[in-house]
Amino acid sequence: MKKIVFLALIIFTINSCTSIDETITIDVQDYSTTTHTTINTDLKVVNLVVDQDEFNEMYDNYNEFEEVEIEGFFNLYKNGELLIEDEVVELEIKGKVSAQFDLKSLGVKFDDTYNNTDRVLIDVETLPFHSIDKIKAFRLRNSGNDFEDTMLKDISYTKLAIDAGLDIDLTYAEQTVVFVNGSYLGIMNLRTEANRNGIYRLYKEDKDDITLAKINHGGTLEKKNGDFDKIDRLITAIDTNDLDFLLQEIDLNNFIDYMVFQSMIGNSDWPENNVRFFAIKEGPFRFIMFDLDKVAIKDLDADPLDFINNPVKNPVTDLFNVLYADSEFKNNFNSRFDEIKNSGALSPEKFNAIVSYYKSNIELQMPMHIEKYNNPSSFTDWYLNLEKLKNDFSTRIKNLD
Amino acid sequence: MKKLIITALLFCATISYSQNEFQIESNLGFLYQKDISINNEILKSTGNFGARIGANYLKKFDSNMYFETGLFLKYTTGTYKIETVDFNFNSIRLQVPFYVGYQINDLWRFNLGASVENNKDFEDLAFYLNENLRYDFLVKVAYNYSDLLDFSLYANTMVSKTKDINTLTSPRNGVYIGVIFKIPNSKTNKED
Repeated sequence: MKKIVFLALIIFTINSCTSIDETITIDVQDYSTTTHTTINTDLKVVNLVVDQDEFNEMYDNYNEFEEVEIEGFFNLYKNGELLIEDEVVELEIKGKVSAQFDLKSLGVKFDDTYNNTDRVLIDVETLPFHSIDKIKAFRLRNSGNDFEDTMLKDISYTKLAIDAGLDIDLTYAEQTVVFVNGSYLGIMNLRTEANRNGIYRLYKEDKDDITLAKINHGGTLEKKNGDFDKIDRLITAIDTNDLDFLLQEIDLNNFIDYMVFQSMIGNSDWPENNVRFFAIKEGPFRFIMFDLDKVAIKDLDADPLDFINNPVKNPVTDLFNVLYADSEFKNNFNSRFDEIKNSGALSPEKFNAIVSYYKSNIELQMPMHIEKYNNPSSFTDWYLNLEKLKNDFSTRIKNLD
Repeated sequence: MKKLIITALLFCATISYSQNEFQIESNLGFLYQKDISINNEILKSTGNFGARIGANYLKKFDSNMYFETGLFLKYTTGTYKIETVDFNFNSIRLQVPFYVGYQINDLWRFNLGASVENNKDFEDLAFYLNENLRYDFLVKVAYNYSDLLDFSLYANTMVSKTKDINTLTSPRNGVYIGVIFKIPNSKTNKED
């Protein structure tokens, strides 16, 4: 008898789950028959015209260690009007973990730099020291690790930093619906790049004048472009606690804002990962922020310095600690932290308004997206995930008091 | 608070005892909580119905005192409307209760304790995420109807008071009535 009872419990436990049966009260188009010309949306609509066999080969056999680029044509529509026609582009799959999802992020690189002065491709407000007038490359992003949750987490946190007017380099995004050869692919964020192609256009500089390094998962440094000796000198100065050199070689206002924001919002996939820093010519290094899809997912009550002092050794944590040992830097950091916190620029109300804006943009499209990918598992789940996104940020900010 | 509960649960588990008993318990109940808001819309909760089924294990450590634990499946069903979607849900969670009980007399016994249960579906659990587990305070009163059957009145309330969307499919509070089947102890029977 006891064995039967426990066996039954184990079987039930394995099946422990929540099932949701929902009725959506808005009209939902069928993704299998909807095309870029018949979709009912106010969002911009991308249609990529490619060799379908080449695209399938690249998409289905993606391997992060093998770069596969295919050529195609980029078309952009809004409310049925063709805005950009047959721009030649190169396409490749982007991402690592997030590339395992059924909807993969695509890197799109124009054959010729696209002139965006009329804001046709991407039309968003930028920080005063940035330019999106010319765009060499951009990404159609699946929202990274947030693909299964809200589809707008990364762009919402980025918008929060933009609206706060922080001295941070970042990416700019607009929500779109993407088709490939007229077949529905899904909702994606059309986002500027955080690589050399993105940075040199952001600052209207020459591509060859950019020195760029990144920190990959595990805190490993990767020298990407430009003057590698300059990067080596920086790393040596960090390792030898050469404070004077670091004070000269780091854009301190940018570094402080970058560290304050990332630690305030509680990014747990940083700084031993998702770090890129660059210098223009002989200028100081600045940090560019991207991939905020693992923000406020754990340790919501942790001290901001705990996020900076990631247990995995990495150059950013080491750099911060060398600088933080200097009383003037420490005072500047703490003052700026208090200033941003007390300004209300990162208030839950402001974040909720951003989330609501992005949510309303894609709300009518989400059922079709969910129907295709079953991620999130239901429209109800998407609503609940949005609520959790706002709750987590609110809890995080309140815990800073 | 979580640490306090876990410490109490571990303390209960280490109590030594001399007699034991296995039981099967099933309950039907009503679950409720205050209205909660989703995306600025207040969801009027009309309450949900639920059921529990599982096994209890009792150990006496005094003539009137005993420790009780078990393993339960908690089923909840209900209906809501959020913005553009009407939905009904069926939720199953795994619950492990721990009680300290007191035998008031031959007919009545009283349990006070706490439980831990998964706060999300198992496929959504991840060690690095918040809100994986949920803790509740428990009260149970049992009436000894016969050598084989007890009737029970059981209530729970969630310890954490912070907003948690997972409570939508498993409300914070519940009151259940139930039946407890006492599995005869074969060794005792042989000795008898």
